[in-house]
Amino acid sequence: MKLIKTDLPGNIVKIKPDINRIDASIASQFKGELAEIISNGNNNIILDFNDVSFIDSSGLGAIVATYKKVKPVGKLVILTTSQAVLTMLKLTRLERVLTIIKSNNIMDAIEKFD
Amino acid sequence: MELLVSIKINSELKNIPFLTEKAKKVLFHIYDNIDFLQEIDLSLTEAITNIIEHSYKLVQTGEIWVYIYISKNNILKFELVDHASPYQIPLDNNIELNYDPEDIDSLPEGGMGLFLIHQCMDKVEFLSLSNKQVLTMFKKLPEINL
Repeated sequence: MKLIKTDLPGNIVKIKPDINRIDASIASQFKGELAEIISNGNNNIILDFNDVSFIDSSGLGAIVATYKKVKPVGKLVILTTSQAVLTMLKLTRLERVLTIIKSNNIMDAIEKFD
Repeated sequence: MELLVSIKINSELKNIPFLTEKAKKVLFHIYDNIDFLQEIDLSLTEAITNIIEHSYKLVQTGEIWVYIYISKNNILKFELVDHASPYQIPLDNNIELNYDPEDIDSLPEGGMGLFLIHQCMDKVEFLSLSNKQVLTMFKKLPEINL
């Protein structure tokens, strides 16, 4: 698994996994790589999950861990139209906690940092 | 109960998608609804991940058998069998996910698997015997013409 990182204006980074399934087999690596990106000073993050067609509780846990790291100093936005991701966020009620943009347009996510 | 399919995998996390895809391929012919198939994928993934992590303790040489049955009254039964160390799971079918959305420290980073299984399935049973564990999940199909 690789995370594709794109620097955007306003000290925002977009992170897009190059896989469509985030489960326990890669959740630890996913969480670790996100932690490394944050430790390098990136605190305004867009997670682009538009190509993610499945996420389990381990993957969701990695997102929550990332949110906890970023929240005090920056912002985490999840950009996705993936029904599987949206359903998971709804089932766990994390849709009320996390900033979720139901779109595949990066500009919609960038607006959230204004 | 009619056996629809039996699938065996070794206890490696990377094998789970193979199993869930095979299960969904069979179930697609019964009910081709994407939300339904996602719930099956999620339930099987969470349950098998639990078995691999807690029963086999990530040892990759164990075996997990999954049997999927359908009853005459359209109830799907998923039977997951392993032969590793005994473990226990809560049998309470009203399991909840408790946290305070305002308290960042209370947000869950783990322990959501069983909750999600209960959200997606109608009933969950667990039996721990001397030589095997059997986790059984039931899901009623909507009224459809089979």
